[in-house]
Formats: sequence, structure tokens, C-alpha cells
Amino acid sequence: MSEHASIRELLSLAAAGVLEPDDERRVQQHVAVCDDCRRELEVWQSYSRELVRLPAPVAPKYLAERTRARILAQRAAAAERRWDDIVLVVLVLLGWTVSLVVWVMFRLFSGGMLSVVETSFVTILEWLGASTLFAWLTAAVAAVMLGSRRVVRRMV
Amino acid sequence: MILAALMNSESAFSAVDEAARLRRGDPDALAAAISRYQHRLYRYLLRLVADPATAEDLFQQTWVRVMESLRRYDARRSFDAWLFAVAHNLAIDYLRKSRPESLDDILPSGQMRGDGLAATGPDPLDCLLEWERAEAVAAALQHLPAIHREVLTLRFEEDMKLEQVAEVVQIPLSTVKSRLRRALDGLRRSLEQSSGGNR
Repeated sequence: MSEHASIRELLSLAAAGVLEPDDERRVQQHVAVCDDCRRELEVWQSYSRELVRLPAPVAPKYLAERTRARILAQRAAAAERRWDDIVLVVLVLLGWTVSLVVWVMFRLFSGGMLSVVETSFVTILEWLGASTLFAWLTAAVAAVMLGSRRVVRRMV
Repeated sequence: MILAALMNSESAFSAVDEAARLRRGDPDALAAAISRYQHRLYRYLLRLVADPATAEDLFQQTWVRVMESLRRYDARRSFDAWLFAVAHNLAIDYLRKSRPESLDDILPSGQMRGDGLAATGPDPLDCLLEWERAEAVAAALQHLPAIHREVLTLRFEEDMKLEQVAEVVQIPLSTVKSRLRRALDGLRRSLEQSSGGNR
């Protein structure tokens, strides 16, 4: 490719002001002696100027406020979800603990300390199953309660 | 020069400070950041998707995404480039879904807003000619593929350096350069066609 043709390829980028210093120098040296390329560069420069002066669309006035409100609402919803999760976990643990405590108390009052110590493996499994069921029931009730609370809030 | 250096360090500090305030969930910092970038970000998105309602929705999604991923923001990077890169990803996802054929395709003409057009000459006739030329360029821009409109708006309207454009668009510098050249060629062709090759 001749120097003229290679410079011609660079003219649009030269007008856009994005050439490396070496290429920029080559272009300037060439257009100083080549009328054709100088005119072509001027045309590209006029396009660049027009692009800079394009009509600038303005964001609608409500957009910033609406965006801020959306983010704050999402953040509040996320905080609420986190809080609900914590409450759910606490309730499940509480349900489990209560059922285990009830089991120990029941054994203590029905058969004394000995019956607690001498519990068979089968009895433990039965009570573990019962307490797990109890805990899950508690969790389900809590989930329904939390869900309905969220629906009420959303409606408000 | 010293003043420029001071201003740079000050703006870098304020970017770090602002990011920290945003991470803490400071509502004032959020309002200030959205307000500061609203016109630039909206203009960029509108140029890319060529539809005001979609640009507004993407604007909101951009800020939601920014707030979600703020922890991953490296304060040494330019906040502008990071913000525009987030917007770029969302806009490109939208364009891929809405027009799965190709992002290189030419869009049908979209509505362009004339709001905010600055009168640059004191002479009313000059103003009118200037306005007509600007409208012609804006219309020609709408006939370019989205990825070409994007590099043109980032370079000329956002006044970003090629390195920043590459950071936003997430492509190599050499690709940005060739894309910019093709975009300018396309714009010139479109303008020359519309004016009957008078230019």
C-alpha cells in the first residue's frame, strides 16, 4: 500500500483524535503536501464536529427520583426477606428445642431420672421424629404467617 | 498542571468516598450519583437502544445492578467507565433478546429528541443550518448498527478515550479502533446518500 493510500485510511481516525502520536505526525506531514488528503481530512473533521454537537436528549425529570425509589424499595424488600429468614430459623430451632425439652420433662415426671438415662434407641428415634415433625409444623405456620404479613405490606 | 493533578487526586478521592457511601446505603449519596449521571447515561442508552421507554427501563436496571455489584467495584478504576460498562451489558442483553438476529444490523429509524439542542451561533440562519445539520447527523446515526452508534456516542458525546471505550465495550483496543472507523464510514455514507452526495 502506498503512503498516500495508507494515510487515507487514517484520516477518519485522525479527525476523531484517536491516532497514536506517530501516526498523527505522519498524517500531518502528508496533508501538508497533499491537497486531496487535506480536503478529505477537513470533511472528516466536519463530521466529527457535528457528532460532538448532536442534539442531546435530556433524561425525563421523573427518571432519577423513580430510580432512587425503586432501589430503596428493593433494598427494603431485601432487608425484610433477610429478617424473615432469621425469624424462620429461630422459630424452627425454638420448636425443636421446646419439643426436646417437653420430651425430657415428660420422661422425668412419668418415670423419674432413671427413665431419662435408660432410654432405648428406638424411643429416641420416635421422639426425634415427633420433635422434627413438631419443628416443621412450627416452621410451616411461621412461613404462612410471614408470607401473609408480606402480602399485607405489599397491599398497603 | 499542578491544579489538574490536584483535581485528579481530588476526584479520585471523591470517587472512593462516594463508592464507600453508596456501599453503606447512604440515600443522599445514591440520589447525588443518579442525578449527576442521569443525562449522560440516559443519552448513551437512548443512542444504543433507540427507544426512550426502553432507555428509561435500562437506566433504572443499570442503577439497580450498580448497587448490587458495588462491592466488586475497584475504586482505582474509573467510575464512569464501570458505570457505562454495566449499562452496556444490560443494553446488549436487551438487544440480543429483542433482536436476536445480529447487533450489526441496521435499526429502523427511531425517534430522536431535539430537547437540549444548544444554539451555537448568534445568527438565526446559522442556528437553523446548524440545527438542520445536527438533525441530519442524528437521523443518519439511527441508520447505523447499534454497536457502531455506541462507539460514536462514547467517543464524541462522552468524549472518552479509546482505552475507556474499550473498557466499557469490553473489547480489545484494536477492535475499538476498527469499529470506530467502520462507524464513521457508515455515517458518512448514510449522510451522503441522504443529501444526494452533495457533501
